[in-house]
Amino acid sequence: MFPLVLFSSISAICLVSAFWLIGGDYPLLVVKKGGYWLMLFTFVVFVCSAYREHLVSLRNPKKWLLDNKWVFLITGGIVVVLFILQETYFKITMDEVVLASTSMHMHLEKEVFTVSRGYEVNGVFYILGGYLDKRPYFFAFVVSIVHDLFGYRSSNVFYFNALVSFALLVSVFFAGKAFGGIRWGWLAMLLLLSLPLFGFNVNGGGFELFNLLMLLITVYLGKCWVEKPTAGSLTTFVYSGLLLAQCRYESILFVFPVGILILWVWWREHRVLLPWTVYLAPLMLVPYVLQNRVLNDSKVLWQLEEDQPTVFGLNYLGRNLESAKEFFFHTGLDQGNSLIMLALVIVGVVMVLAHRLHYADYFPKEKSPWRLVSYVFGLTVVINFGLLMFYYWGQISDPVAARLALPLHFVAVFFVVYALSREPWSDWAAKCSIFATVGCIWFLAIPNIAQARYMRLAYEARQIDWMNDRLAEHPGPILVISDYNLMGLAGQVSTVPIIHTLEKKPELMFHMRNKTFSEILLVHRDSAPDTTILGYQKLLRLEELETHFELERLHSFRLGPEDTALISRVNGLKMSEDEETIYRSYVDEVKEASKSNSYDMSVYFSKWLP
Amino acid sequence: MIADIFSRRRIWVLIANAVIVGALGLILMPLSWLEGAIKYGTIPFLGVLLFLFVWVLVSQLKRLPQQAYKKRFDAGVVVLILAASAFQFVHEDFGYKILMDEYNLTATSMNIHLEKTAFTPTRGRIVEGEFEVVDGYVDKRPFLYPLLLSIIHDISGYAETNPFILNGILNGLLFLVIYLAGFHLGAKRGGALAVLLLAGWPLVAQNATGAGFELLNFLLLSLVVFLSLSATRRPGLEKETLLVLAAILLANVRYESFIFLVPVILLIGLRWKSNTKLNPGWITVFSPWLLLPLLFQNRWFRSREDLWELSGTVTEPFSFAYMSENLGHGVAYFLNFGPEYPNSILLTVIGSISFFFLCVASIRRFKNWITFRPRDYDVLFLWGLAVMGHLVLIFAYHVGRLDSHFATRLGMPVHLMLILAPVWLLVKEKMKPRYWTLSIVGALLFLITVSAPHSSTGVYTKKNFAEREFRWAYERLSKENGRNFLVIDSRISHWTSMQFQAMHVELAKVNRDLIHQYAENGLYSDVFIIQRIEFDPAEETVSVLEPDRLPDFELRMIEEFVSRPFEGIRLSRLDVDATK
Repeated sequence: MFPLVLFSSISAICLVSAFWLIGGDYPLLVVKKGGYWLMLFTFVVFVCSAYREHLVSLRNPKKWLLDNKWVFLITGGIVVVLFILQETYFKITMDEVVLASTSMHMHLEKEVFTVSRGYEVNGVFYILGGYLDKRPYFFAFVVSIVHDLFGYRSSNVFYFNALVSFALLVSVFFAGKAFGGIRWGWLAMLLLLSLPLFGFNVNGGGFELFNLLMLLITVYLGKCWVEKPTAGSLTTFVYSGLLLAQCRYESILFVFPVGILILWVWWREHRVLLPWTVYLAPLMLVPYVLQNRVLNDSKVLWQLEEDQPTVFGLNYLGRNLESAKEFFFHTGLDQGNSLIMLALVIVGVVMVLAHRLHYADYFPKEKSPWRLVSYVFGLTVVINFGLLMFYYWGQISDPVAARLALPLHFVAVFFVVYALSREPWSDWAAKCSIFATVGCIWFLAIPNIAQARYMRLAYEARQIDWMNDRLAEHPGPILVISDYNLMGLAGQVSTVPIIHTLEKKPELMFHMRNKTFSEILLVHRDSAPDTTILGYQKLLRLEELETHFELERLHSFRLGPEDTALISRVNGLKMSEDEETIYRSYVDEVKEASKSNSYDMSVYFSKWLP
Repeated sequence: MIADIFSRRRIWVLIANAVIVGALGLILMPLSWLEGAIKYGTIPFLGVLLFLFVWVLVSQLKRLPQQAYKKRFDAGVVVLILAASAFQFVHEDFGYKILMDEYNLTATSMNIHLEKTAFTPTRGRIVEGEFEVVDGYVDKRPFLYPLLLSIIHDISGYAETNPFILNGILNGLLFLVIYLAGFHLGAKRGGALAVLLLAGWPLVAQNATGAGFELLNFLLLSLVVFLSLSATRRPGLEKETLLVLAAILLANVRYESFIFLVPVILLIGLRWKSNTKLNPGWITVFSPWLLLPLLFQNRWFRSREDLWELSGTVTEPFSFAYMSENLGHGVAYFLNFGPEYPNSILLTVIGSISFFFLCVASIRRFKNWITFRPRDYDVLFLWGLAVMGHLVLIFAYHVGRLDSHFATRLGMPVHLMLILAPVWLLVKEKMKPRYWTLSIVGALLFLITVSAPHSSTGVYTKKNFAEREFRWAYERLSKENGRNFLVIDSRISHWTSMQFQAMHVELAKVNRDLIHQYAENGLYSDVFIIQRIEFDPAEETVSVLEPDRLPDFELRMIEEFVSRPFEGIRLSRLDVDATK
């Protein structure tokens, strides 16, 4: 009893501290300074316990690898094909860009922060400012470790996601195989491949696939815990759950199935098993709560528009359901949906109902660990999708939001495999479904991924990709003025937002005169009036920008009708009288200071960085 | 009995050789002959030394039973060594990191490659498309590194990027030797810990991707220490010969590495003294002759004040007066937590604590030396004294500020003890496996959470503005058609090592008319001038720094590059028509 009381007390203290006791600026400070280290602790405990519990017990890994060589080779080939079939870049603006920026900060400073201000000075890229973002940071943390081990490149995340895709497909294969043979493994893998939404993410910069991989790992570890409750299996399961909870915003929901399964096993075994690592588990979630408290104070971070007062609401349901219908039943190549998956889910529902009614004898009577764990986690995913329908940005036919439906598809894959693998129809069901899925991949999924129509309207992502390519042609240290400053900063290029620059023209003039930057480049868009960017910000018109800058056009890229991305060199600044006066006052200040013995020019250099 | 006398005779012959070599190198050889003797004699001597070393090493390796290899290496160990050495390349870019030193070494290697003489070119010209050296000097830097580099040039053709290949290879060998030293002390886990501790020290990465001789120096020092440990535990004639040759090679890498001969002489001498039956090999007997070019070079260096690079008010290269200030800089370096310096705080803390215990253990059992039964800790203590002596020497050096970008690498040798001492301590205290696991995981986490971000930020490498200025100018001029143009700059060793025709600003001032004439005749397709500039934000003006001014030349500015706040360089073209 005592362990349970102690654990409950620790949990209560953590909850009270996280929600009430830690106040003022401390939530921000705790997450910023301590978030990385707590995550590192969680990760190390997870890796070490998983190694001890599972990998060491793999008696003959070489034999296991050789026995499954075709799975690895074919999966590797598939990932390579998916990688080269489509362009590789940051596809979801903000999410992927912010994650890239956060991972850079975590790599360089070991702090949870998203870089929003930085300059290349004296050959070194210095981070001068940032903010705490709303996104959970386990993915950014793992990418930062990739940077630590392989050197910093913002593009590392693409290769990491390819690796995650490989691991995910292989895991899906083995999970499918557990339903009764190798053919179910292949069917599970093929069903996932029939979903272009999965393919899009293989070479993107997002955390979607990683979230799925962690979900599958947690489900597996849950099964191990239910099957063989030991201190080691509990630690691995709990820490896997903690990490999964910090993959995506809504993944926090998975804390509940983890908790339910632990309680169920304790109840079944009539004993409370609590290793010391589990006592510390509640502490690991404190930064998550604190992060949300900081986030709740900011409407901008939620990217809410004027007419969206809350993040969740009944008023969003109708629009979201309409959008879901449009996505799931789309017959063209404009959405990343899978018609075969939809069809097989419907068939699966019919089969399960038929089975219940007519073939009940075939149903296994025993409560296998797999079934129990699958029910609990599957139900959570369905609830999660239900909640998504009340979310302000839950229109899954929007390319930016479609990925939110991935966990539901993931559950659908295993539901189909479960339904079709029942006797007496499993033989012909496997053959037909594999044949149909391969056909759909060939005729629908591959053209869909290759055409990438869903990205045609993703002007921001395409503009950022083009901008990165063009800027690489300009030797540094350049200063980029762009609305997508986070992406420039993730590439370790001095980048400031356009609006910010307009307020700092005298400072910019100071650095222009003293040639701090080899070039000052303005990246902007010539677009229709009243266009908004980043979901909430009004785009400045070209004519307006020309009243502030003397521009020389260098590169242009047509994004679509009435929309062209432009890169111009800033050859001069047009300052108002007031701005001119401010600039002159700066020069006078330096003149005055230069008379003193303690004159240090670098002070003024930093002070007036735009 | 006869054998005893004979072996003693060999030792006397060795002493006689040492005396003759010392007298010849330091006293008898006329000063005026030194330059020629170094220039033409050094490379053959070094060639013989290198050949002997490789020969003895290979025969020693051949003799080792298969079991010895199996005991030390398995797939995991090989992966660890390869991964740790590959890690050194992931954050730092390949490039020349230390001005003068690295370019001079490359220029010297070019000359060894082309002429097989120990000579450092300072100026060259393109003659019918080929680069020909026209001026140079005998440098103060020992020639082993340039010789090894010249071998790479001999194999693959001259390229200024070849030092990166050489240092890449040396980096892999360094991790191998450190593993062997760690294995010697604490079996496989000892080797693994030593490798991880070394991998987490950012200075290694900086030098592994540079073009300097530091890594070779550290590698040979590690090898000599490992051979000392090995030869003390299981003595053998070949091992001893290998130790002697490795120590002489080490002395030929950096100026001050000469002092590392002392512990080797002590170790071997004490062993001979304790065991009268021991018989030094013939290579050892005549080894002092292999040091002769080094003695010539040392005397040459001491006779030429212009080679000491004394700046401003500094009159002495070494003095105790520098120690107090340099000690402060040393402390700032060793105890630094931030990314400013390429130090490893982990090595400083656990290395110095472990080394302290090692010293105590060795001093308490001082009779081990009297009876000549030294243990590992005694050998490490002896080497500890040597590297500490080396550190004291650095602190007494006029540029021995370890927190300065140019001098950080001088503190490398002492780190060897900081790496090996913790391994020894874990073995000595008979730590349980979980403590070893904890140490290895700790070293790995330190590598990820501290070393990697420091290496990635690379403040200590990237803020080398002079190198960035040169690289900028080099990239601009590389785009020109051919290399038949002249570059006028106040730093020309870089240009020469890159096989550009370059002339010092001062020389250009004297040869103004000739340069114009050559430019008009087409002998130079163009004349480019590199000048350091500074911005005055108060006056809003840009001016060329005094040493780079060319008042009698009409220049047309091409481009300017600001390398650090308010300072940079200007690339201009000589306007021959305007001069007319």
